[in-house]
Amino acid sequence: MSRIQVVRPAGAGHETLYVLLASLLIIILAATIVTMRGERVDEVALASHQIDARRDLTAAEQGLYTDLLVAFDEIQALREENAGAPSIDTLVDEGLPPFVTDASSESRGRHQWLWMESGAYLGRSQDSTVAGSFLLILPQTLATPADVWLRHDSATLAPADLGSEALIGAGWKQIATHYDAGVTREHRH
Amino acid sequence: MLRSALARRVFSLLLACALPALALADSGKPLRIGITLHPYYSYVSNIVGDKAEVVPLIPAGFNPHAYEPRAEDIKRIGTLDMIVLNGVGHDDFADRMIAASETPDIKTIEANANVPLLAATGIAARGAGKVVNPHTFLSISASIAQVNNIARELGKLDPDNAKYYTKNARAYAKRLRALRAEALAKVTEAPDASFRVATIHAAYDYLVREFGLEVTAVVEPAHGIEPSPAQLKKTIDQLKALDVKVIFSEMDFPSAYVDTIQRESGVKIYPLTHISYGEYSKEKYEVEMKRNLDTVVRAIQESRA
Repeated sequence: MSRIQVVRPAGAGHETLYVLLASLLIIILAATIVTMRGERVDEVALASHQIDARRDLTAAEQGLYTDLLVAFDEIQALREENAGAPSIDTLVDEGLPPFVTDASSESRGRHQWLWMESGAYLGRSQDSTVAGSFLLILPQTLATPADVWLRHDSATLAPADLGSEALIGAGWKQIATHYDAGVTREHRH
Repeated sequence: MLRSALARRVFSLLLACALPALALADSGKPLRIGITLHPYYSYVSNIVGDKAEVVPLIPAGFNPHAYEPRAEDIKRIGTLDMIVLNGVGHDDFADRMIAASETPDIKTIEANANVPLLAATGIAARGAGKVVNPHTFLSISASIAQVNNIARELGKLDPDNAKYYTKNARAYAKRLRALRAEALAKVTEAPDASFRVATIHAAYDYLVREFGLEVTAVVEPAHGIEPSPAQLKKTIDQLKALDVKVIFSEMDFPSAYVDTIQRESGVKIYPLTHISYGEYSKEKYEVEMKRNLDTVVRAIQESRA
């Protein structure tokens, strides 16, 4: 009588299982490390009535927008000194771009600036293919940041209402800007 | 044993008594403000006047594009009260120095915090639009925005002198505005769309934007990396095809291949300065920026001649 001895393969089934488990462990470990140390994607969400200062403006508009923000600092200082918003003439006398007429304003759309009693400076573009019309709304308080709106058609009428809803309805877009620190910095700020 | 423990205790007690006196003496001293790049030395010096001392983090003569922190420079951070940073890519070495210093939690001022930034161009434009052009200091408007910002933040940290800083910042801003106005006054006729500009480095977008211009092409793949002969040929063909009228090159980092471009493409080359070389001084920014503005004006004028 022959004795049949069953010789099991040297753990083939187990080996496959162990290899799979080890692979899974490596994948989980790698995924955890990547999730923990990977670069964060700080996407800045824009509202539908906003446009991004870096991506959505023409070169002329980017220049004008920077000038407006700088002028805004000076306007706030003048408001504090004189208890009232400075007139366009005062801003021109101070030599503040974009209110002055020079070679730069010529090539950026020849905006005509006017002060609106409702509390804003309106810059009407004379060449909307180069740059749209701008609206700088002065905030009630001195510590609030500037609020700048842009409209791309040339036939811009002075908005009667400076409320966000009315401006959005009239086709104005609010310019939004955000800060991105250097990508190779030790601590992202 | 017992005696040494007692001596230690007496010493600590004496030290504790002396500390408030030390702190008082400290607050009477002018602030020491660290800066990383030449333009920021000029900005901060003009804002603080004699109320604070401005200390460069890296000594004059080092190229900030290729700077590796040295032990003595890191040590100096321990003597500072705060540091003003470009923060958007031109002084990324500063964070590593601060982290390694005796005062890793030192107060920093992000000069560009509310400056509208432009996206980086060329090879630096990686990272889904998050990489920005760090050369905001090469524009008068973006410089004034930074000066105002630094003065505001300094005022928060040193409220006693806040008004003084604001006053100085406004006076400085006015002088900078005058520089720009003076240059623009010489451009009697605004350049039209056919006036196309290329630059060697992707550094001058902010500057040419003040003249209502846009950079059409950037020649160099990255700072200090010279294009290969094949790339150079492609660039020259591109410059011809784009009908570029002038190229702004780099005064501080001259390269031989720039001459080849001029010879082969026939496009006139005008050197601009990066303001990142030589001695630190209060006047440096105004002097060098005036030269840059004059160069751009000359390029516009000669393109018509």
